[in-house]
Amino acid sequence: MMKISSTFTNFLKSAAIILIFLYLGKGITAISGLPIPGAIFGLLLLFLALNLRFIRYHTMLPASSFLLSNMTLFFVPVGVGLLQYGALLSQHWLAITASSVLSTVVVLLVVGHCYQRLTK
Amino acid sequence: MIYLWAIATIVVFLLLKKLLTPITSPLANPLLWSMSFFILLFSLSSLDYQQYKQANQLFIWLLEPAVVAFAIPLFNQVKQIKQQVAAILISCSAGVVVAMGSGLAVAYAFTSDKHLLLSLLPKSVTSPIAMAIANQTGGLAALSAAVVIAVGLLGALGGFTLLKWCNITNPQAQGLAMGCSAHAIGTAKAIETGKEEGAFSSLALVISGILTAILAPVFAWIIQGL
Repeated sequence: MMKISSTFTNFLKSAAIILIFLYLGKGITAISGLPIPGAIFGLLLLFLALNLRFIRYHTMLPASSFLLSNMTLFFVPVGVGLLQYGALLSQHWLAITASSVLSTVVVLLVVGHCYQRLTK
Repeated sequence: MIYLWAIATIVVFLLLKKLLTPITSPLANPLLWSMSFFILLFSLSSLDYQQYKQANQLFIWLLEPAVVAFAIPLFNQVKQIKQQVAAILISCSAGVVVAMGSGLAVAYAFTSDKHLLLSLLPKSVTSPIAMAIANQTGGLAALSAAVVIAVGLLGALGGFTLLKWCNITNPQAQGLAMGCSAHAIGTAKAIETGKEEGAFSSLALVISGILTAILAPVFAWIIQGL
C-alpha cells in the first residue's frame, strides 16, 4: 500500500512539474508575442532546468514516460479531425499531395545525408 | 455518456495495435488505421462527429504537456548532442530551407493561388507553429493545420523505411530527419523506435520549428512577388 501511494505521489509530482513548465512557456509566448507555442518554450526551460540540476532526471520519469509512450494514441483524434477539412483538402488535392510527398521525401534525405556525412 | 467516445478511441487504438504488431510493413500503423476507422465511421453513418470531438479534447490537451516532456529524452542524450552541435544546426537549417523551398516549388507547378502557397509553407513544423505562421503571412490556418497532420502521418508511416533504403542508418541522422520533416507525429514514431532516434527527433522538431518561424516571412515575401 505504501509503495502504491508513493508511486502515485511521484507521478503527480512529475506531472505537476511538466504543467508548471508548460504554463511558464505559455507566459513567455503571451508576453513575447512570438509565433512559437508555449509548449516549445516549456520544453526548452525544462531542458535547461535538468541541465542545471535544478530538477533531477529521475524525478521526471513517471509522468514523462506516461506521456511519451502514449503520444501516438493522443494523435488519433487529431487525425480524425482531418474529417472537417475534407472539402478544403479535396479542392486542391493535387497540389497539396504532390508538394507534401515530394518535399517530405527530399527533407528526410537531405537532413539524413547531411548529418551522416558531417559526422563521419 | 459522452466520454464513451474517448474510451472508443483507446479501445480501437489498443485493439488495432495488438492486431498490427505482428505485421512488419510500415503501413501496419495503428494511428493510421484508428483514424481511418473513425473517419469512415463518421462519414458513412449519421453519428455525430462533434460529440466525438468534444469527448476527445482530453487527448488533444495532453499533446501540449507531451511536447514539454520531450525535454527528458533530450536531456538523456545531452552528451551526444553536445558533441555534434555544429552538424545538428547545419543539417536542420538545410532541412528547413529545403522544406519550404521544395514544397513551394512543387506546389507552384500546380497552382499560383497565393493563399494556398502560403498555407503550404509551414507544412513540416508542429501545428501550433504552423498555424501561427499561416496567420502571420496570410495563409489559411485551418488548411495549414490539416496539411501538417497529413505530412506528419506520411513521415511517420514511410520515413524510417525510406531512410533505410537510402542507406541512412545512423540513428541520430534518422531522428533528425524525422523531426525536421514530420514534427511531433514523426517524433512520436521516433521515440517508439529508439532512445537516440527519439531524442534527436525532439531536437530537430524544436530547432526546425524555430528556424521555420524566423525564415517563413522571407518565403512569404517571395510568394507575394510571384
